[in-house]
Amino acid sequence: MKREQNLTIVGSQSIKDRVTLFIGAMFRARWFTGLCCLSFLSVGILMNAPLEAWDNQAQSLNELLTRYDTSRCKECHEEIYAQWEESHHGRSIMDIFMAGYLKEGVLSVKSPNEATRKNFPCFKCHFPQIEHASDQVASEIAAVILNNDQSTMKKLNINCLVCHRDMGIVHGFPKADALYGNTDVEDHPDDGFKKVHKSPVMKQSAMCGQCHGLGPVFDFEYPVQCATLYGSYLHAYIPAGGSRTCQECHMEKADHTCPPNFKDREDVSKRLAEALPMDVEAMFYRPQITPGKLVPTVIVETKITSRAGHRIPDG
Amino acid sequence: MVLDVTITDDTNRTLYAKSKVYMPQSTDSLGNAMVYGPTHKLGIVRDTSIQPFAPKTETFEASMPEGIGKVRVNVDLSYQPRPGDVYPIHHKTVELDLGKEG
Repeated sequence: MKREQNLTIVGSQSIKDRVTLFIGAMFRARWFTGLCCLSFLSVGILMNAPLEAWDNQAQSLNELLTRYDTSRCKECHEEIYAQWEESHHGRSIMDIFMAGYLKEGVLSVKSPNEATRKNFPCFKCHFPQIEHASDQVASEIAAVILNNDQSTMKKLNINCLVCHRDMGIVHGFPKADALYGNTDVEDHPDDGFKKVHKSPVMKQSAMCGQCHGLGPVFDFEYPVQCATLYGSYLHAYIPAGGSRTCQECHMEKADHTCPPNFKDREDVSKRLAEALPMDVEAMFYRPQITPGKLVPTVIVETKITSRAGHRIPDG
Repeated sequence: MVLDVTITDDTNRTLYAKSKVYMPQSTDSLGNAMVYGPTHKLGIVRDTSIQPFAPKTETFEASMPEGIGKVRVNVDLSYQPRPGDVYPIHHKTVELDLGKEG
């Protein structure tokens, strides 16, 4: 009935009006709107998709670890590699009590075979390589963790390829044969990654902010909240006039140990003392708040100032 | 982050002790109980942590018993991510003579 009415109206319109009405009618037809959306989506995906097959899902943990093996990096970058090995990035799942989460609570499993990628929301930051792995790999990782296989756990880390490839560029996707750093290297002597592209974001706090937390992470069936440092940096430090980047304090002279290293307790204490100077004043007197009643009183005044670029403590 | 203030006399008897805890505090956003752990926390509801460029000042008023002579004021700041896991940061001591007039 509606279509007949439209046709009747069309009969009395100009060609321009007829075209307009025709297009309107096409969009009112659900199949046509769906087709348009699908077309736009396909073009969008093709334009933005990573180019490489390198990122196909690994079907085994061994395949994933081989893909992300960075042991050859130390042949040329020995000092930086040694620094990284000492860092928290170098043992990013070792200290997060993942076994406890797999044994009890919303992420728990009765056996490793039950585990899927959904059981590892922490890995969004602690082992982001999981994005390129199948649920079978997640199951293998669960077995590694529940069996406390320390040598394999040590291999599940934030390594060179995570920061200098996967996360090294944020405007677009990384290229298949390239790494990202602070300078261009035309002939990077590596069989797989033949070029290094200068990526300005690597010197920016946003680089670190990809993992070091804005606040709650709602991406998962059960949300998690871990680090909120980047949120604090953005919403407390910057508004208060702060101008330093994360790297200026935590990667001074390109130090890939990225302190603080909480295993080096003495150094953590020293860094915290530098970041949080404390003044203390104390006095004794006898106030007489109630007339005729003197009360011996000690007054202690403390003042803690923060030189850090974020709240302390975090978490 | 924990600030401990204690006052002891010359026999090491504690005359005053008070602590302040500085930390972001979260619930699970299902109720009003504070929770720990990344799989439980969802939203900071109170934040007493030490903020950039925002000095944290405290005043402790400690009434002392009569007849006390010298006292030692100890102020300790430490990072305590978990109970019993203490990273000392500052330890400051001030000695006062309560018996001294004027």
